[in-house]
Amino acid sequence: MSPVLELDRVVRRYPQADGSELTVLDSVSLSIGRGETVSVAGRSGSGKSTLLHVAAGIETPSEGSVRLGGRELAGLSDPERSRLRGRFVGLVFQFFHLVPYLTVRENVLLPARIARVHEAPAEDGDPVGVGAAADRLLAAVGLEGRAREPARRLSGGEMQRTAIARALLLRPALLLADEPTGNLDARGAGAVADLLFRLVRDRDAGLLLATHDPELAARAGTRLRLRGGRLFADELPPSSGAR
Amino acid sequence: MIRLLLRAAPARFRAAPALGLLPVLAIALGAGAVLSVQLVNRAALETLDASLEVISAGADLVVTGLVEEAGSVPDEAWSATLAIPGVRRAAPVLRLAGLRVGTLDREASVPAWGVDMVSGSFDFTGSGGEEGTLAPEVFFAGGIVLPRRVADRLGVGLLDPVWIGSDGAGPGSRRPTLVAGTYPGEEGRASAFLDLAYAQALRGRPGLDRIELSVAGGSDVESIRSALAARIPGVRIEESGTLRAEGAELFSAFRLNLLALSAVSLLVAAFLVYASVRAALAARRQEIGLYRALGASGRRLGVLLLGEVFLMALAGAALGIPVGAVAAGASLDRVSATISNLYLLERIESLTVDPQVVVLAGVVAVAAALAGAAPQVFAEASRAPVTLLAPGRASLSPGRRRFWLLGPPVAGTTLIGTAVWAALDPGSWPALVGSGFGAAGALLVGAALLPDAVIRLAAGFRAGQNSAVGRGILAALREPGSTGPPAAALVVAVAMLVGVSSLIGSFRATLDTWLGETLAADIYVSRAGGAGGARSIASERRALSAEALAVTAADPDVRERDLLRAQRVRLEGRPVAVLGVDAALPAAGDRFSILGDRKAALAGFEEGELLVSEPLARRLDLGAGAALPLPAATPDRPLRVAGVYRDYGNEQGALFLDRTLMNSLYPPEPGTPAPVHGAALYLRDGADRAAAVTRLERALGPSANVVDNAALRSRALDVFDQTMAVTGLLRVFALVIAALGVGLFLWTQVRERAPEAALERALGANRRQVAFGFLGRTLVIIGIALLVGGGAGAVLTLLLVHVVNPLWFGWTLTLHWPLDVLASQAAAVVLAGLLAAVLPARLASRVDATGLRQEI
Repeated sequence: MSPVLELDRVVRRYPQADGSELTVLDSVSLSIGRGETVSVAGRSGSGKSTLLHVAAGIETPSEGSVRLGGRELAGLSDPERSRLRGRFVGLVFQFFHLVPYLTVRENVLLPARIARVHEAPAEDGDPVGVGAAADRLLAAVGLEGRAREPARRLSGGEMQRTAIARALLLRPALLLADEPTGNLDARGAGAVADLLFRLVRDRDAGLLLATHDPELAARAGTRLRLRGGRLFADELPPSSGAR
Repeated sequence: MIRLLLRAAPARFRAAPALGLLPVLAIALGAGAVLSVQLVNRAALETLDASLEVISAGADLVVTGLVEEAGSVPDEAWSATLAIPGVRRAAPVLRLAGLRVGTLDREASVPAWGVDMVSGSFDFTGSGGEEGTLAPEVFFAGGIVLPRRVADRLGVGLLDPVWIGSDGAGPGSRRPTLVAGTYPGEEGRASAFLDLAYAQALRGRPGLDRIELSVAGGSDVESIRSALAARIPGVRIEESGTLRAEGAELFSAFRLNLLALSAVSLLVAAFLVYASVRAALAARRQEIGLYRALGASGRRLGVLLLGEVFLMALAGAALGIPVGAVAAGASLDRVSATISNLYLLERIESLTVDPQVVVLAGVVAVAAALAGAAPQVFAEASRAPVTLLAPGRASLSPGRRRFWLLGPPVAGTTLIGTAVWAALDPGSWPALVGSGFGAAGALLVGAALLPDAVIRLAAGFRAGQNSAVGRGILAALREPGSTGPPAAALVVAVAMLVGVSSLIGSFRATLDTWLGETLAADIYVSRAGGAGGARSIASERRALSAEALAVTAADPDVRERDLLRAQRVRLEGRPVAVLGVDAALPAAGDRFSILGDRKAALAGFEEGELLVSEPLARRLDLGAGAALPLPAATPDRPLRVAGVYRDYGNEQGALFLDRTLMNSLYPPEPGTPAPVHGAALYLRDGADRAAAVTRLERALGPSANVVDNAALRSRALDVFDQTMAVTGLLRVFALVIAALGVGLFLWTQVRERAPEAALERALGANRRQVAFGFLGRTLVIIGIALLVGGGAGAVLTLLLVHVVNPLWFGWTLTLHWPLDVLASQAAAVVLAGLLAAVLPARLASRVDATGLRQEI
């Protein structure tokens, strides 16, 4: 099976005010296939979010290549990258990022609205209306009763469950989750983690998870750590990559 | 804490310059609108003052003619006044509205007085005590005393040669003279002085404009007044301040109109300040929360934040002063033309930027800005620190939620209801509301309160979310707190545009119909140099010569002639045109548009009764059958009013009577025929009108104006368009400020919505989609402005047409919607809104998904 995400010797530097450059990602290589779950741990500021942004095509690497679903991002225009991200990648954020004036269901439907699609692939591979897909996902995350409420009225855990449903609406091949439980209490974090891993498994998606929570990281099939811009296998001697 | 806030101000400005600059610009435009209108109003008033100024120092009483015409006080009246016991001094005065003075290479126009230097006491010192120079012997020999400003412009001084001539007359009428003196004069109000006899020679006829009397100490003014009235019939005697007060009253309605229009600009600017302060508070919510958490009281913090708005408003007001001065200068010609058309004043020659007016405009603008900012500043500053410091985007709805939800629409609906009621039944309301201006103000404020409620009602809108524009529309509708203020600003501007444009359209259509109905003759002849219209009266209007009248009578195509005699009298302190025509002329049956019983009115008119114009009838509360004591050269003789006719040519009022009756009431000087100021000619059936005009022009030469019906109608409409042109500038001001408001709103939305745009980008939206989302927000604002503003504008039109105009100007107008103008203005609003959205949309499209590091 071809990988859904491939990072090859990716470098990401940021120019500094004094003219120097700060290297946040230093020759990072990584490959994730369907059904694979990978966690990346690291301290705050270690580059975890940058890694996810580069993987999603939100940020462009200074060096190296990123392939999403077999397509090299460097050759794509901004609209093409946006379209590929919309169809191929699901994103979950630490601060949920729901649109407060939209209802829960409207938030879940947002990726379909942006992509202007009316159908999403179902479990059996046949297309299903995005509305029905959203309803199923809301049922799966336990929010079917709050679908018509504005998102701003939800609790933190409910917001994150909504965000997960949104990320999975169009059955993306890759889910990128940035500290998905970082803003939740222990009980809520456990429930969201269960949900995340179950849905990823059910939908046979790849998962790249950035977290500083060891328990959450431990649930991933592959555990990596970012240190000094380089990627190491967690609790293993340093290596140049995790492949 | 003041120091902290002040220190942080430059950094805040660098971070978000537009947030500070746009409201400053809006206040500047608001202050500019108020200042320009005040300056122009003041210049008009000064011009009027200058022409009515009592120039003889210490004058207590002023004798003027009953007939309001130049030279209407006979020369003999002067000696008669001197013979009255108690009169210490009597100074005859004559006013030349436009005198041209020049040298070989320069010339200037200056108002001038003809005076008798011996009998009056004239002050040639400046306000600073600086004295003028005067060579009396040169003055008595025909020299001219010039204000120093004019002398400097011409480069002349005492005893230098100059030429003088009437304004508008050819070089052939100029005569040489010497400068008999110069004096400092007051800026903008300085006149030249000539000896009375030479001034009369320049005017070409005898007669005085007025005699200014000083009463000896201890004398009883009332007994002198009675003695004067008995000895000099046909004159009016007033105390010296009365003339100016009456003059100011003359065009108070016009000035109030301009002031109301400028107030609209200020109202729109206040909404703009509201929008910008709201955005600034949202951006600084956590900073405010921190100060509150550290112990600052809400009240103290509110005062400090309001202090920042105050500084911003001061900057705006300072910027508005040159804007206002420039705008006033640019509109001076238009206003001057308007006032000359409406009130027959002199031309406004110059504009003086009075520091008091500047301060007034600044204070008003700053007050409007503070009023726009204060409620939300104190509401936000008084919130609990924990609420302010909580993560997530600010919601600026204050705690008293129900009030804020229900209060504005209830208040708005009530105010609009009041305005509608006033429009439908003006008589049942107190004077201010009933007079229209109060109701119009209530309507605009009410309309500004409605957008929030309309947005809430439309919040159920769900269609079209698949398009970026649709999502933008949804976002705007779901957040009335942010969409409401800019929509309100645009609503006020649109309402004003619709109201004023529809009023002007109704007025023009009514005027056009009226001209079609009443310009019954084929050709109109008047003396060249007089006013254009057959019915208008200029202060310097001159009679047609006997030869000219003979030419019109002898023309082979002329079937009948309707001869007009015109003069002005003063009725209850205002000038009124008295017009004599041949009442029984069969061909002229259609020349009046009579209100009410036409047949009875015309029958009464033929039998020696009066037809009074609608403005005069309203002002003096006259109707058919009323008695009107007409001030006449013979003892007052009440005449009966036969009917009221529509008249859109003269706001001051006019009345018609049979010319024979007029000649008996106002007999001409012995040995001279009664003057005829105009001739309306009716041609035989099948006669060639153009050929007749050409033939008459050739026969009459340059001394007469010969215009046919169509040309006169077109000229009247041109004068109307020129008169109304002044409102155009103020309408543009309001629209520009409102467009700035939309731009400011969208710009603040770029800041507030950056994380939301970043989320859309992360979820696959491209830059174009994000930009189009902003377009959707703009469309909501424009849509609401057109919907609510259009509705309010329609009610405003009804108020202006049915309440303000009849009450203030005495004109009954037929409602006419100028659909083409309204459509073009709607297009201008849409275009202005979309243009205002371009830059913010571009900025928004530059947001990328990395912005998700912030919270939504």
